[in-house]
Amino acid sequence: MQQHAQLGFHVDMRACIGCRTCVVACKDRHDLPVGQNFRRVVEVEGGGYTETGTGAVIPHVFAYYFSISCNHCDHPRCVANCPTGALRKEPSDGVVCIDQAVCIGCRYCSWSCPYGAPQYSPNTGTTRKCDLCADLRAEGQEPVCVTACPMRAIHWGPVDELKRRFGGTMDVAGLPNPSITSPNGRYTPHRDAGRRPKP
Amino acid sequence: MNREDLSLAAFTLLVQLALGAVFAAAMLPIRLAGLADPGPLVHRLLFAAAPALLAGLGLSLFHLGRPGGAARAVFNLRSSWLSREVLFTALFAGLTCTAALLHLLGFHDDNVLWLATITGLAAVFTMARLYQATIRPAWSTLYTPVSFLVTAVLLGVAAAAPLVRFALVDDGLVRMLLTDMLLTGAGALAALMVALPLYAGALSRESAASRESLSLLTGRYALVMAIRIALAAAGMGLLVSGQANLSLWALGTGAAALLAGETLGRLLFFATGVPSAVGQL
Repeated sequence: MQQHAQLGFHVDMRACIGCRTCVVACKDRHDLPVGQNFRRVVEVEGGGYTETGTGAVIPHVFAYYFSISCNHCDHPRCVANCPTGALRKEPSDGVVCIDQAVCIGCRYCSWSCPYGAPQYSPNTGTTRKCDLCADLRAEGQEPVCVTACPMRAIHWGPVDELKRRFGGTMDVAGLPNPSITSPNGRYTPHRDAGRRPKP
Repeated sequence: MNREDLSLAAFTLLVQLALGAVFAAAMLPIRLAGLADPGPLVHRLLFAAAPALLAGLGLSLFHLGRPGGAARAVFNLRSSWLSREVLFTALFAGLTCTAALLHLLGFHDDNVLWLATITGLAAVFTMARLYQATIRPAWSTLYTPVSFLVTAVLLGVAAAAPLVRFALVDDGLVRMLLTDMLLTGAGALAALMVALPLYAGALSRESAASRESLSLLTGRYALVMAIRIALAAAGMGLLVSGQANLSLWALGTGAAALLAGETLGRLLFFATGVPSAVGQL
């Protein structure tokens, strides 16, 4: 079998304004019920303030957003832990997907993913997740979150190419430790997003 | 906590209770060798363990979106601890039911009891590994297998103590067996008391999610944790009283207190399992 490049997403956190258009577009495309989102936007807030002593207060606050879906990890715990073998990593493009006919809805994959990618659907009794819009890709189109983003903050493609074009990292404060699953996403950090604090 | 967690809490408790009871049943022929016929007590323990296992397996189906596909849960033995847990628990249940049926038919085979015990240990070990392999730091520590084994011992004692009073007529033998159980239970409780501060220390160092778990244990659920430990201690105290005066009331109440304490402990386990997630600083 011919090996192709590992696919993934890149998100430019400097451009993301947290509008959640990507979430809505994904939800619409995959007809997801309330509570189920293959792509999510997580807001991170922090900071404090300084009192000058003259009655003034100077704020030092920040907020930034992670638009996140499945990172199609190199070592996906969801695949290793799935008891039925319904979850698999496609050898052709490294995309992690679920065979809906085999999944029994045990939700162990949800317990195994630090990015919250596998989402249980009460409607089907199974877990579903982002497959990088396999149906659109098969038609030569882009994943719907990429085309919907009004800020052009989301990109997709072979991860090596994304690294060359945008750089980026998964070692950003607010993201789980990348050593857990070796994720294939890339983030260009917001100016206020430091590196993940060392434990 | 949600409905699915409740079904898993019941499942884990029932399997661990069964392990404690089957282990006690396997030990009895050795402990009572030359003293008394262990048959009546082994019989009662097996007929406590077998329904517990069947009920546990049945309840575990309630956390599945498609219970009809449960048999497929053993398809990934190569890498999934959940597959291994399902396999070993099913084997444990099968062997325990076989031992119970053999006993009913008058065949007393100690080898089946020990085989069931070993399979039960494997089931509880894989059960612990299953939770350790998640992205919930509070479950990933050694506290998980330690607490599961402690529960197996305490619930085994809870199941066996009142049954001893029913099954044996010699008061001296009843006291001897109750002393054995009390020593074993006290050892398990002591192990838990040693493990708890080490667990808290590990949670304080690990990550934002583990610190959130520690904050829940020492804040919102501190009273529940205190009640859980108090129930375990009170249960052991009542069993000591029951051992002294052979009071069935004291033995039964002590067993109920141990069961309530371990149930609270298991609910706490699920309620404080905070996952690592995006957005945690």
